[in-house]
Amino acid sequence: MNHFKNNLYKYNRLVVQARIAIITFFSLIFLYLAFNMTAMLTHNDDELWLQGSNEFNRLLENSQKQTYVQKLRLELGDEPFSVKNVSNIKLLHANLNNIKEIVKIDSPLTHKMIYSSDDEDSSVLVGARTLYDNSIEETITTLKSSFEEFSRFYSSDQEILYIYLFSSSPVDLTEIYIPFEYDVIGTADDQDIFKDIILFLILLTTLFILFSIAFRTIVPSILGIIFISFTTLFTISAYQYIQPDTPLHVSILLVAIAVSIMDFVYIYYGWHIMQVSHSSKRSIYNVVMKTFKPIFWTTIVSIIGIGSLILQNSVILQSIGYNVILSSMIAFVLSFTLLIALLSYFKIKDPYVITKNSSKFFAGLEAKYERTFLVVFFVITGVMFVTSVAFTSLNPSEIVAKSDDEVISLVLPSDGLTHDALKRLEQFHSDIIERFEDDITSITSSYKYARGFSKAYDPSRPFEVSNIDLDFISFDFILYGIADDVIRDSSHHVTIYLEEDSIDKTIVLQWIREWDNNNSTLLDDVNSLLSAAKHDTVNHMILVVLFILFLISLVIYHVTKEKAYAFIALSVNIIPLIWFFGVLILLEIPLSIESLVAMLIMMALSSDATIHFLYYYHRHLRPKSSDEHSLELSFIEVGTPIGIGSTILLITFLLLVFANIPTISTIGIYSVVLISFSLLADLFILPVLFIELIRSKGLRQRHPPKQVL
Amino acid sequence: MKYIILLLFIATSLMGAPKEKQLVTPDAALVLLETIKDKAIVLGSGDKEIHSFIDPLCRMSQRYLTLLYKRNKELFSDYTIYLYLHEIKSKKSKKHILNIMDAESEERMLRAIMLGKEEFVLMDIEDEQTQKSFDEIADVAKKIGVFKRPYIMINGKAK
Repeated sequence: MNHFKNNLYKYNRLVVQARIAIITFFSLIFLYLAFNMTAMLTHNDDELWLQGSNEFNRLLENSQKQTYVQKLRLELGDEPFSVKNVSNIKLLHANLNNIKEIVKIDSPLTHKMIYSSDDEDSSVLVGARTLYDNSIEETITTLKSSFEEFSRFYSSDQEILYIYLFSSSPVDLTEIYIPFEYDVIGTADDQDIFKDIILFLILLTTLFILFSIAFRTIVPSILGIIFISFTTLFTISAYQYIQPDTPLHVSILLVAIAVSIMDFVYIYYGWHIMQVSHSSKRSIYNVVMKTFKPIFWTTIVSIIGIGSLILQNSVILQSIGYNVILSSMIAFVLSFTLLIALLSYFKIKDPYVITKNSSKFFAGLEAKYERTFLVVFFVITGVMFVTSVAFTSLNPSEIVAKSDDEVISLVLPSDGLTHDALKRLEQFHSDIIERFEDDITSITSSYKYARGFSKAYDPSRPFEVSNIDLDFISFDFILYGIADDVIRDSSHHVTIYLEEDSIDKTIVLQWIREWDNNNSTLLDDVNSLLSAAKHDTVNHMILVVLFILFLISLVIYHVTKEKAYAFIALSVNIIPLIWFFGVLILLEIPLSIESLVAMLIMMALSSDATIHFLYYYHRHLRPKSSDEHSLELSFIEVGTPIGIGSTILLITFLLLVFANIPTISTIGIYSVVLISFSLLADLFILPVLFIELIRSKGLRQRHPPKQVL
Repeated sequence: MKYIILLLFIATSLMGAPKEKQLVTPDAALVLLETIKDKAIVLGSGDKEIHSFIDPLCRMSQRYLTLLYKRNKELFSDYTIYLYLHEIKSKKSKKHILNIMDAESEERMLRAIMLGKEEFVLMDIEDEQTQKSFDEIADVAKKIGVFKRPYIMINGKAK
């Protein structure tokens, strides 16, 4: 221990002596990176999700391309079939046809109806037609007289019209004139540097103000902004160097910053309050002594725990892993070099300790806690845990990521239009309708049209796939422009339209993936591919969360050599997760990737808090000191920075809710809930459990502080 | 009286009975079609053959021809489409058919009459060869059992 202290003392002196060189060195790197910054942040994580996704890779292996499907929701008003509305629909089609990326439009005007026209004797034609070339009057008449045929495009009150756009790449619909009030479902935000700048300005301003309020001085605000700016830029640049072709998603950077920001809070806070009784320089040495090991261990937990995501196939998970590893390492290095060098220039007179009185108050309350309350709390949490497990086991599909759009596009690789392919499609139609009869409005496939034509040719003959004349059907498919929609490169394309606000699309997707024993059915629309990729990722993320829990317990056991402490750490980190799951189930919110990212943020913060709190509490256990005194000191030294750091992140994430970027907003909401639960658990459950353990086992005598670490 | 009733019954039964799609086997139909191929208006140059009997004044035949031209890029490279002009009696289109068959550019006249895209003038055609071709197509159509227009055949089989 003395050897460690001596080395740390020498190191501290070296840093202070070389502070100008250190600050200059990092500043030059910062300026160089800032002026050569080419990395782009992205809000649209679609491409990141697709890369490495099993379903997407299978699509590419079969020489198929992904399709982007967008659902346009147009408001028609109370006269859906007015001349104005129909004229505007035609105008919209004309505008959409000018977009070269759009490969197919599915709307009442392009919907193909199979007919058998029998004008008079000997003048008969079976065919397929659309309303596209009809006059406005004819279109209105047909829409009204055959509404059932077009009902899937309209809401039940007929005031909303849905049009589906299939494109080869994402289409920006703001570029064209849409003569209706409209929404687009199934589209993602694109890159927008303005949004990024606003987002980071909000973050930095919030941090600046909150640091000033918490410490009643502008010093931590300035140092905090410098520390976060350096960590962020270094992380982005390092990531760009490692993964030059992968854009960085904003939410991933947020995870990385959240992981590293606490290092600053612990070091600054320790230095700040130590100046109550020590000089600034002495305080720097003391804070390095006190924080080096806990920060080292929390960095290890983050690097190994969250960093293990780099071993996954998914690019987005790798991206999270790399960024957490990089930001944790960079924050660790900067904490004990740049930050220490910067701190040595400052001195705080009469440092303000925001929780001086409240720490004593809470310590007093918690030291005399009622065991009954603890038992009741654990019973309720246990019941919630059992309920969550039971619910998840009984309704596994309910926990998957929710998808808003209602279209699924599939590819069935085949040898073209053959009886075998049509039989397979017939089986698919039959099975999926049997399973999701009330949830599917329509299925478009070569089978549907082949069946329609065969029945129209010979209504009296019972339909059988084996009786289909493939020569005629092939000719008809070309003649009526159907082939392009349902058969491409010999593969059959199937489009499934789901009822609005019915079953979650992800459940249907999972059914489709399990339906195909040969594993040859391919999803090809990007939204379905994303749903599948996220669904597959959820399992990996859950494993990572469990791994981090195990890692925290392992580190705590390594530090204390006491299984009970490891168990406490495990419990305190699981409790917020259980309550969070409880809230999700209660509010019927499916588990999503956003909630799992929020869980990772919470786990990173919570593991920090647990390790720091335990370390300090253990250090302040003295044979002659009371529980209350040990607790009070721990509250002042660790509880306060945990509280300040968590509150700052909590408010920051709360602000992100209003950032108008869906993914970020959702992560913001979940993070706020999880950090709140975690903070409550760290400040109220963790200390009480320690006291309970110490009282029951007499640990105070068995493990004097010298043996710790 | 009972004979009249019986006669009426037989007549209505015959009229109401479903029509046979074709009266000859696909192979026989192909042989028959081969005899009138040179009288057809040919569209496209693909490997697969489509034989269609159409009447220029039949609305469904006109719609069919419109679709053929609309999809010409895809169709004309895969298929060779033989169009045989065969009158529906009620349409009284013989004069139109003879004008098309006698025209310097049959296809151009066909489009003018059937699609209405160009002005045309009908003349009295008295050319024997044209009349003979008209009759030959009608004769083959009768043997095959062409009962509607357009009457489309692939590999000797009717739709």
